[in-house]
Amino acid sequence: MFQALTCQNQQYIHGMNRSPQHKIAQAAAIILGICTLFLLFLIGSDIKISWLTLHGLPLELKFRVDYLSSVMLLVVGIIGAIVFQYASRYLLSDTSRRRFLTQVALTLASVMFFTVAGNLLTAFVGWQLIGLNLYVLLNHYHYQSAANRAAKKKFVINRIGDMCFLLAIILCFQQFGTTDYAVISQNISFDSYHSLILGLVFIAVMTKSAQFPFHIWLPDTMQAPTPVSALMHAGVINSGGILLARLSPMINQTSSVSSFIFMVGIVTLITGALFKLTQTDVKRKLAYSTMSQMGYMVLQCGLGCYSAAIFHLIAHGFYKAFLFLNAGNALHDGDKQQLLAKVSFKNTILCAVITILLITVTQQIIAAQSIPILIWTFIGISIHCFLVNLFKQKYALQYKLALVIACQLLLIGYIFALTEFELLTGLDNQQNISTKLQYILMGLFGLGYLLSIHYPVSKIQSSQFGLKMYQCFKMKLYVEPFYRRYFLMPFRSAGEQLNDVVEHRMIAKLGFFIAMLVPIAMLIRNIITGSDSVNLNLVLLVMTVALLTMANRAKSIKKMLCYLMMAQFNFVLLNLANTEENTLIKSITLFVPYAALFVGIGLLFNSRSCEKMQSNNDNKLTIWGTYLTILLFLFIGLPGTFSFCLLFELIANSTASPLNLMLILISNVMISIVVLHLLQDYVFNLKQLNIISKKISLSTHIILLTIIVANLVCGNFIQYAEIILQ
Amino acid sequence: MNIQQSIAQAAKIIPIYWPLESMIAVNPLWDLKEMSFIKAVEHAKQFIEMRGTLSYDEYIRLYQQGSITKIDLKQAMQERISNSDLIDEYVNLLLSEQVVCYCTSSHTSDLKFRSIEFGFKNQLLEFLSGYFDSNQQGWYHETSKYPLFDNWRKYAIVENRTWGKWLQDLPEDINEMLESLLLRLKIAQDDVVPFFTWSFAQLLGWNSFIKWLETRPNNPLIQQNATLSEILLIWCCLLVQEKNFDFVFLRNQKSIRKKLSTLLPNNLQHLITPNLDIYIDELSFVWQRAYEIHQHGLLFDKINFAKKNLVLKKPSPVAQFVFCIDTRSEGIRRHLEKNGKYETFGFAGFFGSIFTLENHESDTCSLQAPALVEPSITLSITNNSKSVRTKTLQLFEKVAAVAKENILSPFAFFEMVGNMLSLPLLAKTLFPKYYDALVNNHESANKISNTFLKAEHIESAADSLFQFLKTIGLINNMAPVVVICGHGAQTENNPFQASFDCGACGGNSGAINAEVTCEILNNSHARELLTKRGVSFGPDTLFIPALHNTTTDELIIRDEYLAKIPFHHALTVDISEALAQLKLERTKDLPAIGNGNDRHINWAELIPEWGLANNMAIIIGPRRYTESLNLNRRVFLHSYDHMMDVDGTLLASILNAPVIVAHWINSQYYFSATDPDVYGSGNKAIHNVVGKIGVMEGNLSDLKIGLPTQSVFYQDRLVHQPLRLLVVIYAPRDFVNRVLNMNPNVKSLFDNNWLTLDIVEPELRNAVSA
Repeated sequence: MFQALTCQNQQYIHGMNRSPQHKIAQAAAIILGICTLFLLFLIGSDIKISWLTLHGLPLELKFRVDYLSSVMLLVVGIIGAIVFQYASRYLLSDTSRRRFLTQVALTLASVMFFTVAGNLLTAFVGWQLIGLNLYVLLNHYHYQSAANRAAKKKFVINRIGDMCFLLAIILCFQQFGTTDYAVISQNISFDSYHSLILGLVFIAVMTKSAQFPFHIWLPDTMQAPTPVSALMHAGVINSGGILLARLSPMINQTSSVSSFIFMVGIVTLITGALFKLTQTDVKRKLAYSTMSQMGYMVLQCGLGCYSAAIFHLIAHGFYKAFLFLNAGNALHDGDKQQLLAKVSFKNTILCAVITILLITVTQQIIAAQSIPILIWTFIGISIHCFLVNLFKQKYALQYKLALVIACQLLLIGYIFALTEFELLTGLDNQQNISTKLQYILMGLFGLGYLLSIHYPVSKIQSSQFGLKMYQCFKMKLYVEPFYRRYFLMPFRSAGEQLNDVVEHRMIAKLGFFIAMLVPIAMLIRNIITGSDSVNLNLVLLVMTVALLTMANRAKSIKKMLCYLMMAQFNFVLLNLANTEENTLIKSITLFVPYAALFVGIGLLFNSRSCEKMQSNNDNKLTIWGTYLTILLFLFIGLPGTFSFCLLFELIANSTASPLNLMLILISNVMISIVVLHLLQDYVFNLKQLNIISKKISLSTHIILLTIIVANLVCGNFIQYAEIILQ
Repeated sequence: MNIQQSIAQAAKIIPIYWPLESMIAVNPLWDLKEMSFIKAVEHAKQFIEMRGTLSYDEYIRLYQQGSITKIDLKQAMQERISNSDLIDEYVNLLLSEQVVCYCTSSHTSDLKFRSIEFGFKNQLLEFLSGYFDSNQQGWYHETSKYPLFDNWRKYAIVENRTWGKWLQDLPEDINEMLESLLLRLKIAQDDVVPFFTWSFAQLLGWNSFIKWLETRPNNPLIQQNATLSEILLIWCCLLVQEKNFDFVFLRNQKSIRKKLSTLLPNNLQHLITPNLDIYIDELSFVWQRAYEIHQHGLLFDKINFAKKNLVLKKPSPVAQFVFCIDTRSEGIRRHLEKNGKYETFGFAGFFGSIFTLENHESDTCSLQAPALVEPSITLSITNNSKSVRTKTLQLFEKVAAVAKENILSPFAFFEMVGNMLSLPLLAKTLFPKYYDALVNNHESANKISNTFLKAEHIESAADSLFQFLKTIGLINNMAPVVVICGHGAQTENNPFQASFDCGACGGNSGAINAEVTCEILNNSHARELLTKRGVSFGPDTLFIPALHNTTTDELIIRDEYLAKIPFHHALTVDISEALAQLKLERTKDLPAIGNGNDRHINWAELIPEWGLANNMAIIIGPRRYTESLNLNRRVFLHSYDHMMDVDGTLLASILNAPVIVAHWINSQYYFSATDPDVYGSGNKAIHNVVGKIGVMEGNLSDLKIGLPTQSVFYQDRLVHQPLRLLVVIYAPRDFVNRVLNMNPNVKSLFDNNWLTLDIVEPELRNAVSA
């Protein structure tokens, strides 16, 4: 009897060991691995799938496995396998381990999808899938508000990049008629249009690869289990680099873009490194280190050394994955006192001589002309720093000599690997930045480095200026407060004001409805008279933005959804107003899927409420919440859903007027903000304030599933719908 | 009451938090020990969102399982209120749907003052972690020179210009400063202590750490100095800046507490007198007590059974083993004794030698002593025999670790080294065993300079070792071989390693203490001194140090010592047999993937072992009484023979040290299980190490104290049964009472229900055997 309880516990635990959970997850991983291997056999082959025809443009998915993508596949596969194996053990005591592992596998699959993409559109689809999967992964502990906020922040910032990416794709279509990497890199023109496309893609890269000032989402992602961080910093964040490498022939032709890339790289590198210095916890320190390393990678791209950039991505990936997975050992890290030990000037010069010697020997052995002087500077700095610290140690000389020789071998091996890698990937490397500038930067970096080893920051700190600097970097240059103050707060307070007005004043309410009706009336007039009113678009868009601003701060879930739906409705109207085809058919194809979604949401709200309370630690969404989440995500404009088609057509229609374009993109980012906000407040049950748990009958299940499937079908095969209707 | 007194009064609510590397379990409510357990919990509840017991649901579940019975409930109720007429009614009410619904659904907060989220809290957290950091920040600043408040003020003035004036105008003296701030905040005189308590509760983790610093100013682990008054000062300054802050508004309206008697039928109402009543929200304490009564009852049954069937005559042992009192030692002792050839003893894991251990090579030091004592002697350890390969690798690691911290050097460095790291990455994840065999060398050729053997220290060493031998009763019947066995855990990538190590050795492995003790006991001069005190060594008695690795369940005796034992072959065979059985027993209740044999070296392992989970009692008495029992590794076992202890000093020292330590461990597990969010350190999967101090959860949170959920929960189920410690003493009742009366501070722990006492009279045994 004494053992009864322990026995029960034992049995319980014992039973868990043998559950098939692990087996299923492992099978998924193995399948993923086999797929990767299969892809590796396809080197040099192209696969094309025609997908959609939107706005008269044939959208085509193209996959291409070349040496670059096969190398990346291998790397992602290895890191994926490690993370998967690690996580399956790490999260053994997690109730939702299976969900987590599935999500990791899905994320890996989407990274692979992205890697083998053969044109910008396919890359965009992969890009979106990665973003969505990461959102779910970061939200693993969705009942914690910090996790939720971090995931939301990441998604919204990425959304800004996504919109730029989409615009770039549409511009690309209109310019070249295709987005195939191979075709667009042959069609080289030197006009500003070209730079615009590249600039837009680069903004997307900036958001994904945590470049300054879009880095703010990266350090906040520690609320997810450690393997997520390892996966993200080693496998996912790389996608920006791959995209840049794919577009390298284009970028090389437009010097303005490459200098912009170069500058962003330098700024990110320096700020990231300085932010890292003020960090006291191991994980965020690693995050800022990733940021600066990504800056270095982008800098390499800006210089024109794409193969070096990719090489850096891979090496950094392995290194960072190791550091993250090993983060628990950080408690036993050495003391800072070591860093403070004085470096004598003599030692510095001696090490500098040895460094130059080592580099010269290497250059004699391997001819590596394509490595620009700036990269050599960084190599020199690394070796010098290593040597200086080596000579500081109190060890016998033979150990130090052994390590100097090891250092030489390492350097030769590294340069050899780099040149071989360059040949293998066959990337178009060029020197985009003038040698003069490189020499200047070399001097600056060298000086900065020497200062950093001779004057430890603790000395600077004692002055007022030093304190200020420290505080400034500790606060991360106030980037986030800046966003908060100039973007977020106005947006929120405007929303609150609008809500107040509409809620409390009768006249305002009336005005609101009239305002809602005006565009419809105008549209009907347009259709009847056949004339096109230019202002209609603008009116509709302004209305949409206002509605979304209101939705963001609406007081209840129903109001929020209502405003959101109205905004979506405006989008549909807008598209209808611009269409030149058969209006009736168009309006049917446009309205029906949306109407279905609205019906679905309505059904959700009409279902009976359920008495049972959800316990906090379950880490599961209610069925009701899951449906609402899926339905809302269908609004956001992810490829494959109907809203994507709408968005695509809208943007393609409005490329002529930049103002409309801006408003469309902004309002689409706002839609995702509203949706995420809604989910945060009402589905993820933070603070247990608004628990909505409803029982869903079988018929509702069927209807909801039908709606979701129909929407996806519509999103993927819309042209058939139109053909059938015609 | 002056300011300092108010602070001291308020600070009682703060636990003491030892830095994670030498984590020592502490009762989080230790400073409230003058109050009864219930009073202390209720006091803490006013400021901290906590429960102090399991949830009502959980108790109902236990009741349905049969782990709590109606009889237990009646008994527990009886302890609370003495009227026997109403007990039945009350217990029925306790189980009635009305009360169950009331207690499970409407959880009203007991907080006296609401806690609010301040915008400045995150910045304060960042500042504190920066101030106490000693190994993470590259932008290092010498904080140890400046006291906490001055340092904060320096930054605050830089950060915010408007502060400059009035921050500098504050008076010099800390107390005056606080007084002027209290005036600014309009805190009434009566509210000062509640306000301070509330302030402390808002930042419990860091305050507990500062409290530790305050109580241990001479510790070698952390250099910085800070006091709780300083953190209060900072807090007040920040509050002054906060517009709209008014402490009075935070006061919660006292919710009306319902008494259980109101639910009684009318015909019984006349029986109720005020002291026969109980608040409904206090019922969980009754449940908890009933739970304990039930579990204790099961233990008593076993103990009594064993007492009746005591075997007196036993062959003299071939070898004797001394283990730590740790609950995990119970298993290995039981399996070793089964053989019949060995005798075992239990003593706190430092085995009489207490010291600070310095490692010059890695510049680290550790306190090899229980939390209650501050060691005065320093020993140093050197590792002299290392292969060239290891040394070169070590040098490389050291240099690389520094080189990647520079601002500009890591970029090309990552590129050069990164790809090669894919190999250890793969090996550590997929083949941890091979990796471990390849990289880590386990030849531990540590050389310890034993300062105790120096002429000036040997007398005191002999004294403490005599106390050690006398307590466990190992004075005149020594076997030829005495193995002193410390214990330690082996975990990888685990910040909470110390929570699995020996608590009596400051959260370190006890192997070194065992080794030092053995060295002294084997020393001829020390033996002379001990013989003078009354210890009789055999002519060939040999003390052998050993290490019980609790993660792998291995008992490691170094070859050089093993060679000295004449019958070492038989001994190793017996030990490995016992260990195999123990291992079978322990792996059964550990969740694992595969066979789980690599738990100690796998870097993805969050549950290397269950540690001391499920501990419930400490038994102080001769081992022969409990020898035949399977105690499921739930009991601390301390050897003690009251026949050796005429004046009760030995018992007093046991009650003052090992029992307290066991109580702390027990309470740490207890509160980590009942309040995992407050007194437990949360989910290990998102832990983020801060400096050299502790962990926080995720991006930024308060310092997390206590045990992680992975130590007391598996998935959503409790693995640890939270029961307050039961102290079982084998000694005559009068004798124990006399000793307790001489030690009022220990007695008050029993009186205040922090501990439960049970005395087993050995006389009875004589009667039975006669």
